Amino acid sequence: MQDKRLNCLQERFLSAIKKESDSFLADITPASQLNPTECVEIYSRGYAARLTEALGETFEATWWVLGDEEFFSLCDKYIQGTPSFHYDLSDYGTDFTDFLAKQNQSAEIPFLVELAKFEWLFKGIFHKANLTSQAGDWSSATSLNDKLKLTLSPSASLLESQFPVYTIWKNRTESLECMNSIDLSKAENLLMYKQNSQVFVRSLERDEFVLMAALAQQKSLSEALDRLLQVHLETTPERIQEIFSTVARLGVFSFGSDFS
Amino acid sequence: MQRKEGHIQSNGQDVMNPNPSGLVGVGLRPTHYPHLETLPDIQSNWFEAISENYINTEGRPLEMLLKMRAKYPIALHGVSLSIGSDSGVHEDYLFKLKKLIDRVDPIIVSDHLCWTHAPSGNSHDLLPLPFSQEALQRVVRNIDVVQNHLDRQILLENISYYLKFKESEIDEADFLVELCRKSGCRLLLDLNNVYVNAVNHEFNPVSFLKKIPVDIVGQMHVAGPSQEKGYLFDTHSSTTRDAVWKLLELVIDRGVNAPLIVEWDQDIPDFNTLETEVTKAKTIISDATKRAHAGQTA
Repeated sequence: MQDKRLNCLQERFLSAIKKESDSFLADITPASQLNPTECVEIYSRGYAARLTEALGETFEATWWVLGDEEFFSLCDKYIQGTPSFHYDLSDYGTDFTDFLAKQNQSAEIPFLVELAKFEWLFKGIFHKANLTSQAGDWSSATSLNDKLKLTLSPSASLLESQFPVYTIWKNRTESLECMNSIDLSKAENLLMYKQNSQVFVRSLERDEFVLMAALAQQKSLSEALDRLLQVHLETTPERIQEIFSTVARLGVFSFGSDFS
Repeated sequence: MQRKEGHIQSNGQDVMNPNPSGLVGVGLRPTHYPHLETLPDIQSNWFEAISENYINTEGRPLEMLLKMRAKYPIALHGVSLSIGSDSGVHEDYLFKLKKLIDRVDPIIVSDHLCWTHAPSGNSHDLLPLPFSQEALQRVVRNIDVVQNHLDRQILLENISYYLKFKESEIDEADFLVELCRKSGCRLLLDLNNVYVNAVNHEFNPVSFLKKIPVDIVGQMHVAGPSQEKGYLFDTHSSTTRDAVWKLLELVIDRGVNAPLIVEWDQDIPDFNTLETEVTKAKTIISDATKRAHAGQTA
């Protein structure tokens, strides 16, 4: 039978670090000037600090809006209930927005959850490769085949927000007082993409967003146009042409599944 | 399983056995990118990059690393391999590390003799192992998986630890030696960690170092710890202590001949401050080498 002492020891150590159990204290001899609890505390503090730092890096504007005390208190609560499993610390916080949605602060600050969603998406795009320019003749491809489906690049993302989250995010290094000058009733439709090692965020017109969102959902060109015309009955052929020109110029969509 | 020894650079230099005064460098940190991009005339002649800073990201960090690699030897030094995990090494991590190695062509690939994850979660910390036969066998098995996957030898660094395990049955230095002998990996000898452990656990660092055979040391680190209440903390946040420079002298006098990195990870100073540490290391290595030559010719 395989010896499982090491496995048990490691699980007990991790439990002690997460303050779930102190049975591990019986397994150790402390550094000379410390007691066993103080030794484990060194690792516990490090664990909490690293995860808090990771959340702070990703959700910088959320932190700014909440202030240190509220943000750190929420981080503590989240960390207690959410172990990290991935080796990449920047991946920690996958469901932080869901967690925020259940907290009192999200009722007090209505845009908080959507701001956090924006920051999570932004972080994801930041680590992606640059957009690769897509070869092909857009005008002929799109005019010849209305069943054609396009694929949104993994280096791009769309976000529909009831609040001006990008405007708020852009101000995150300013004094909180600047929030008074932001019209919080203004919705934003955003496209994020990475190019030349930078993340670009573009505010889209509503009709542009509707079309791009439908294309991103793998609707065919004709289905995406139908969706656009359902939402914007008045859309002219010239405007449709203009939107497609924008889509082609941005290079965030490819024919088929060219992005890999 | 024995692995191929060392790694020969494209210019033919065997950087696993360089001239001791040859490779002395610093950790490559984003805060110094703007300075390094100006291609300054510097004392550091190689760099060590943290693997995880480049494994899951594309763009400027990797561009900068590749730019530096075109000019200098680079070591990839990881913190998440978790070679001591009883549950084994993550395949996904290994796959991505191999991809990074293929892009960067580092002269050394290293991580720490520790564990970071268990089935119930990841600590994101360099956690110590008991120095037991069971742990030794587990780590040897994990190293074999890693070296086979990467198709190269790895180096493992001795870590700082703030507790010891009652079930440890082997002396740490003996554990390190046996690990290298059985697995074919080599030691990244962190002299600051030896010093920190010696202070915290009250042992003689010189006796420790005398038990380490010269041939298993493939690289060295020096750094500065911080003094906390009741213990020294391995923070890499200050200049290297005189006691650690003395340990460097000792290992060079013993014949260790390996590249050196000055680590600094918290409160990172400007590059010139790091260069002062590099210059100091080069002087110590050069003086010790001269002493050794004088001893041979006397």
